[in-house]
Amino acid sequence: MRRSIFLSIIGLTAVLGGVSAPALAADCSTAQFSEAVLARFPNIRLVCSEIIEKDGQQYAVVKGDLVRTGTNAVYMKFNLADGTKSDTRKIETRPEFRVKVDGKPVSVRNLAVGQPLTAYVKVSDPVISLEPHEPTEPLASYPIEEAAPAMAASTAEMPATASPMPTVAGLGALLLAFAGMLTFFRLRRQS
Amino acid sequence: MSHSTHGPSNGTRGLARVLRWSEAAAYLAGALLCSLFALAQADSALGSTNAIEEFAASLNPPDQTLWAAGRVRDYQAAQQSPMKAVAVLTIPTLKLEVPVFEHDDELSLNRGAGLVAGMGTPDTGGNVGIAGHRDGFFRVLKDIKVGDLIEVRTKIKMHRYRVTSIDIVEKTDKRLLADTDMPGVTLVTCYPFYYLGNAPQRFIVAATYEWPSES
Repeated sequence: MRRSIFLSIIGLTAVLGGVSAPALAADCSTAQFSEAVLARFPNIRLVCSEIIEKDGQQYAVVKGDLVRTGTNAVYMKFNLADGTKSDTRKIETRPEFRVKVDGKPVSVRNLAVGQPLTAYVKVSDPVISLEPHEPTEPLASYPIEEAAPAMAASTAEMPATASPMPTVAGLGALLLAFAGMLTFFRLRRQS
Repeated sequence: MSHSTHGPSNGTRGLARVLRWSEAAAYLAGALLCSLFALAQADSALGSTNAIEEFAASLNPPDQTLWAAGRVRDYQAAQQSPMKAVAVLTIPTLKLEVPVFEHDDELSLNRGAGLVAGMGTPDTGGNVGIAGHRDGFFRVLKDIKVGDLIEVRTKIKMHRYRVTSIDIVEKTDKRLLADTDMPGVTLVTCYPFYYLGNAPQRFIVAATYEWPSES
């Protein structure tokens, strides 16, 4: 009895090992990222959710949220395993490039902040691309840029937020009171 | 030679005439100013309600497949009017719902709130500035608290922000209007809330973006 249980455990371990071995080959922690990728994207393993193969190339799938849209770029923060977000990454794209949102194709120019997006980082080269809405569409390859805050120089002036209307109403009421006073004295003089 | 002593002198009659004219002018000017105020109040109430209703309708545009090309163009042009709300700002704890217009000019602020020029927009990100009259829609901000939820509904998406700080700054201090890496919203109104004329300070409410997974 004990022997059969022991053999079962051995067999199960062998089966599980056999199943998991191929999966490990395409795992974020074991993927052979090139030096250039690791130099440009040091935390790639932390934000990578899986490794996929497309057109004979390995890509790390990175998921995150849109934090800003630009003319020819989007800025994303990727999801880290602990629930926090990575630093901001700029991903170049075209305004008419379409991604899938709720199952429908939406062009980048119509995306809004907070939109969850997926991008692909090539394992062998420091290039990144947004996931196209059609899986068959070839991936565009834009160089991975250094992480940097997405901030623009502000030209904003402090707005004027006091309405002149209360002053207008106060002045009107004063004038009416003044006119009423004049009427009162005029009538008193006449009587 | 005798002087007439009957009736008021010419000087007295002249003064009485001036006073009569002043009285009439004061009545007229006072009535005009009060009417202007009443008109502005009516425009504020009706303009705000209409803008919110039109914004809600624009979220579900009518089927234009059978429309003439000219009619479609006119409809689209009307949707781009500067007096159409680009968003609706809601603060549930303050029961505030106000249309947000593209500009922060006087007419826009009379009917709602306005985006501050030179800052971000809710959909494109950055620090979004929204200004409002302290003696109008934004007077309720006096009761806002850190942690309160601010919702901004645009035609694309509902954005949620959580209040992180409340500051009172001089009206020349623009530091809180600077851009931010994380999306956020900054509400701006005059301070003190009860003050006649141009208030010397600004009441600033800063809120950071709440990601869908956090809400």
